[in-house]
Amino acid sequence: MTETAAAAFVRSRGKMESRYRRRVFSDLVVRVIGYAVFAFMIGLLLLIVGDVALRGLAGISFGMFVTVGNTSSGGLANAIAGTWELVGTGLVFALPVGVFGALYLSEYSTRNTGGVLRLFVDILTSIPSIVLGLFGYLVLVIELNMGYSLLAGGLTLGVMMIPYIMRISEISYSNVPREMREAAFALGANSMQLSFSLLLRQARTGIMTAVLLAVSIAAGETAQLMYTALFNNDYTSSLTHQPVAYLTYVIWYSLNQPTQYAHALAYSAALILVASIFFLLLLSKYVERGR
Amino acid sequence: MSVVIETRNLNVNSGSQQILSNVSLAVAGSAINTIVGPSGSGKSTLIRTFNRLTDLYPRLRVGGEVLFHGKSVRDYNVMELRRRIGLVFQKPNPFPMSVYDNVAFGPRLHLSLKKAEIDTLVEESLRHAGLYDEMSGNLDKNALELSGGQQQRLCIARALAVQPEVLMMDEPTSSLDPIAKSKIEDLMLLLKEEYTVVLVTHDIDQANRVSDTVKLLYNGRMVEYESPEVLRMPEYEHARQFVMKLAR
Repeated sequence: MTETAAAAFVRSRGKMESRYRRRVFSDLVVRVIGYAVFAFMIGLLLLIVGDVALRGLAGISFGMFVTVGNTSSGGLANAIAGTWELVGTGLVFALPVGVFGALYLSEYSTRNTGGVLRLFVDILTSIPSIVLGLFGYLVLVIELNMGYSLLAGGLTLGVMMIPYIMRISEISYSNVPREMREAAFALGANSMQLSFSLLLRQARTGIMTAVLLAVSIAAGETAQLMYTALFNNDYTSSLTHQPVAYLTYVIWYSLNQPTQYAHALAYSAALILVASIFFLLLLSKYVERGR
Repeated sequence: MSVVIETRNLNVNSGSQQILSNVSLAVAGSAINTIVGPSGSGKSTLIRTFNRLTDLYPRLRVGGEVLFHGKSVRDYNVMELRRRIGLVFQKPNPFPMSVYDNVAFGPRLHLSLKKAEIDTLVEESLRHAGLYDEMSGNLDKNALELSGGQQQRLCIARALAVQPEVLMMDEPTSSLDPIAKSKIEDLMLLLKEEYTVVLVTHDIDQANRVSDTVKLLYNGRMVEYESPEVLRMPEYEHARQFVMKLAR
């Protein structure tokens, strides 16, 4: 800085001080907005969860967890079991496709093929679940003759889970430091060996987070299951040609019933679902922090 | 001395930026071949053309010839080439796994070995890298818990475990304290008995201490190609300026 510029800079101290006041004020404004948004979000969450918890807890009983029900009487055991059977079936399909798709995107794809695949996957995320349900109905239930079933419902959920698992896993793979990849290549590894001996191992917490997120989203789906799993008043023991019960259906259907018991059942189902998803999200945060 | 690696009119560019211009050099067997030069002079890129690690960066265009035992590196299977020409990096980069698994990583890539054979390889490699006495009985320890100097010697052991002929070291001591640094320098002098060592450094004193031959790279060009003594009596203006700057 030249002598005159430095002198001029020091001379404008008065101007600086008025600027300081403005800067402190604008900082305060942004801080207040931040706190307000924070309070609004917390309030909204408490309102929803609180409402579900209060009404749900009132009707919940141990019997609900062990007896099957038909949405207006009985318990929720078949719906709880069915929900996790459907999500589990979806995961068996979505996990390998997502994890290996992500490996392809991160290690093998060219700029063009990777771009096209990412675009498709992103479009898949934005397809409304009712459309996926319709696809599941026409292709799996009718065309492939699976009937309303665990397999049809699970696969449709799986299609929805793939993009979450693939994109989050891809980020985890690309977070593996370049130095580590170079070290593996310098020892004579090829891309496949790099993927299996290093990337999968390094990205496992990321993949776990992706899986938990996809599972929580899938567990809350209704529309696509109404077309593919229908509902079952009992447990489901077959992969095909036997409908499946699930919690979101109980919530949707029981609330439209004219009995108090059905309403209580709906809120209990909602509470169980929200609590399970909440637990899964907490678990995914815990897993993420453990990395 | 026999020539192990040779480059002829090697040019490397990344887009419009010329990284190496007409570099011709020979790497002598069973010796410490040092390449010195300031940051950004292309030293790391140069040695990465030897094991074709430059292939990982599609933007880099490599022209001219790189020969390993008289045969173009392009004519080798790249996995085989990289097994035979090992590389130790500037920053210690052990894998986030046990000491044992780090050293066993390379051998497992190339051969399916019995547990006992891997055990022997791991022990020998750690001994060669001067780490066995410190680590024996502690091979299950996570490599990331070792000190910087130990991590770098582990990386040397990892590179040695695949039985290379050439060991390239890219500023291996630049992130280490003086004690760890002198241990690695002592190790280099031992290693040259069995391996051809290529050392990249910007530390003139280190080059003087350990080198058998020194090549000076400046702005992507080879400007000296003599014995280490030349660093004390440079004839080229650029080299003199560079050495004076570093000696200060």
